[in-house]
Amino acid sequence: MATATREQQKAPAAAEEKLYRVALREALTEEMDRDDTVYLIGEDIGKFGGAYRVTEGLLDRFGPQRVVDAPIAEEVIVGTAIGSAMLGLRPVVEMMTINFSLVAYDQIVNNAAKIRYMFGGEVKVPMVIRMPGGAGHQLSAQHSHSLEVLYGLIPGLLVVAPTTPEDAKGMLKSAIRGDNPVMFLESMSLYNVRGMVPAGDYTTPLGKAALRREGSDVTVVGVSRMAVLANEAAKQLEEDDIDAEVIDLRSIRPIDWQPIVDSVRKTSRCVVVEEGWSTYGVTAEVVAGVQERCFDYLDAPVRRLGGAQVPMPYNQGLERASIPTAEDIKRLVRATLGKKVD
Amino acid sequence: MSDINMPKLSDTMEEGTIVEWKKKSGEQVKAGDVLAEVESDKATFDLEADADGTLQILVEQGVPAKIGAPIARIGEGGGEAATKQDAPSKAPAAEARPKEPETPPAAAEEREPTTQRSAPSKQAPPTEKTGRQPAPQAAPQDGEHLKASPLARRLAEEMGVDLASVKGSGPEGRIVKEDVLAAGGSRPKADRRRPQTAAERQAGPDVEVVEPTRMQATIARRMAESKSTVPEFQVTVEARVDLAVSLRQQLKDSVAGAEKVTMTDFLVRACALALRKFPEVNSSWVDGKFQRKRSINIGLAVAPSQGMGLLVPVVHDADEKDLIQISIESRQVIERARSGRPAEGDLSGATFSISNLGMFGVDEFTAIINPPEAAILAVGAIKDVAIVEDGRIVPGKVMRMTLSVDHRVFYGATAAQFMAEVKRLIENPVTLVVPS
Repeated sequence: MATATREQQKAPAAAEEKLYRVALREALTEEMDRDDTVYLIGEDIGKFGGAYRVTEGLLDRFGPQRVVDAPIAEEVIVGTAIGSAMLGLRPVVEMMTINFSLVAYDQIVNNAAKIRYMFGGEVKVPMVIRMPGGAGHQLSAQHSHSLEVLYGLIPGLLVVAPTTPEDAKGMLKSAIRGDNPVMFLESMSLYNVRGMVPAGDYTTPLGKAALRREGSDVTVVGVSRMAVLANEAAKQLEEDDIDAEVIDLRSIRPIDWQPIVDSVRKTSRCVVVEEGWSTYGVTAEVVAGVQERCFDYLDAPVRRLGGAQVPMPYNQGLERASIPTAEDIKRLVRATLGKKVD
Repeated sequence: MSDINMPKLSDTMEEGTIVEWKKKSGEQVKAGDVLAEVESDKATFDLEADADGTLQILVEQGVPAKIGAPIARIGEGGGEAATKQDAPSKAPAAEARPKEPETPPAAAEEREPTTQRSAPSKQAPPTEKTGRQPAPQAAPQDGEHLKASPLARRLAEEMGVDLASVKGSGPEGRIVKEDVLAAGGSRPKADRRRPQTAAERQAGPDVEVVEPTRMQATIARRMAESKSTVPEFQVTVEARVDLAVSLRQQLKDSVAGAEKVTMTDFLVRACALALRKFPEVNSSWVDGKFQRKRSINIGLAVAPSQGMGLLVPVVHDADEKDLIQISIESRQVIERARSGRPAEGDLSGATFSISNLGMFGVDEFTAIINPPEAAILAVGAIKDVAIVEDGRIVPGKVMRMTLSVDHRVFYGATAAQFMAEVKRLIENPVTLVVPS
């Protein structure tokens, strides 16, 4: 395999437990130290330290030339980033949430994704757009959705969603070093998650799914934070004597089919989970691909699970009811296995 | 590792049977080697290897397989593939093998319906046949109404388990992998393969039941389908063929390549030209729409060289070929079909058919349309008759032709005009020899 895996590159130094947001900050800091062309632009990322404090301290360290506090104008922010990327810089944009990126959708879809093609490869657009998504914080309908599928649709973009601090750092470094526009999807609910992060400089390849847990009865593919919930659900399913394999999709575009196909051919059953709406969603794409590739291996219909088909409610109880939980995943897994569902 | 799937050898083929494996499981084969003889609904074909490697047989001879279903694999390297894949293939092998020593030559005999004639005096052959006849032939049809997972279906096929006899334990009663494994492990397969019909046959000794060949079964199904779904009517014309008969003799005597030109060749040419003029005849009724065919491909209904059956070899793009080309090509395609070694396309793609029983002395008859074609021309014998011409009786030669028409596709007036055109062309045969 041509792509080096993280395992091969991991420095011998001991890993340390870190927050997801800190791992991201380390990636930004190390890449800005390494390469002068890397700069940050976004709303409130400088003086305020970022809405989710990912960029805290970076203005002091790198100055306002490289940590640019932008006006509240997403289209301008992304347009600036695209132009500077075409001319040789490596911008890292922070959108306050993926929901606001819709203001810049034309820039991303019509320019960032297409320019390298339309100019016959003469210019490239090496940029990263970091944006958190997801619900659970009572931020209501305009701030809480997981719209990754809108970018997963678009040829010319890479779309990734790391779920661990280790991947957050390693994949952000890969994204910054790459020569193509990367939609880097963070989850609001993961910023305070802790996890072991290898010491030293390492990168995690983009475009690769990760096997999080081995099992023989069913394959659960999770998108973004749902991969974390799938893992929790799988642990709890042990009590029911159900042995679930968990795959963290990590890359929404392109989808890394091989590990999914290998797993489903082994388990013969598959459940796919995302936080966003599953109709026309990332899960829809995965389910379609699985049945195309694994039809003769399937022992049950491939099932998908996603958020409720409503604009996200503000009410806390309703909000909780609108996004998939570990319990929901367990229920669907049991149904897929033909077990009694409570 | 490459799968060898049951090939689709004709338009109407839905499943095929391995008449004989020419190679054994575990044997090294090379690309191009003949692996097996495969019988479709129409003929027998050689199945060739498309790669080098170790052969692993998945479907034993005599067992029908749907088109596209894997029937063998060619593995890379030596023993690895064979040993790894051996387990699933054991099951069907176990059923087929014990029967072989009892009736070794029966495989060849079986596809010849001629056994019908000699059979009444013999009690034994039908019994042997039933023993060989794989019962689960009906299972795939039943299977369509069964709830079974794709994996369960695949396993059932590999293990020779009849899904109809399996109770599903999955959600909504679906048959899942475990059910097939349990069914496959718990029952001796030989029992399941004994068809219940065996008992019935012995109960009625006055009637001998003869298994149809695949071809005959297909004809039965297709003809019944045609008669029950196609609203047809017939139009008959009588053509003067004195000129055609003498032109044919002239061609045979004096034109190189035309030594074997037949009246059917004349008709192919005439129909091709007429079809070009009436594209509505060269059409089909599919899903409530007319399909006009760009190519004019004429099927010729012929009897196989042995046994009772029907083959329809096809002269493709007949309107672009002259009479001599048609004569040569139709003879070749008929020979290939009758030898059971048709080339690709020889038995498929017809847009119109001709059935000529003139050589048997039949005056006239009606033929059954072979859907999706819209018409078929039934041709009778050329007869010497007394004809009234300008008030005088003169000797003449006539031939009656009856067109069966799918009334959904075109109507009486068109049928009449089409037949008038065919008649005009055959009565003025010089039109058939000039380049089109």
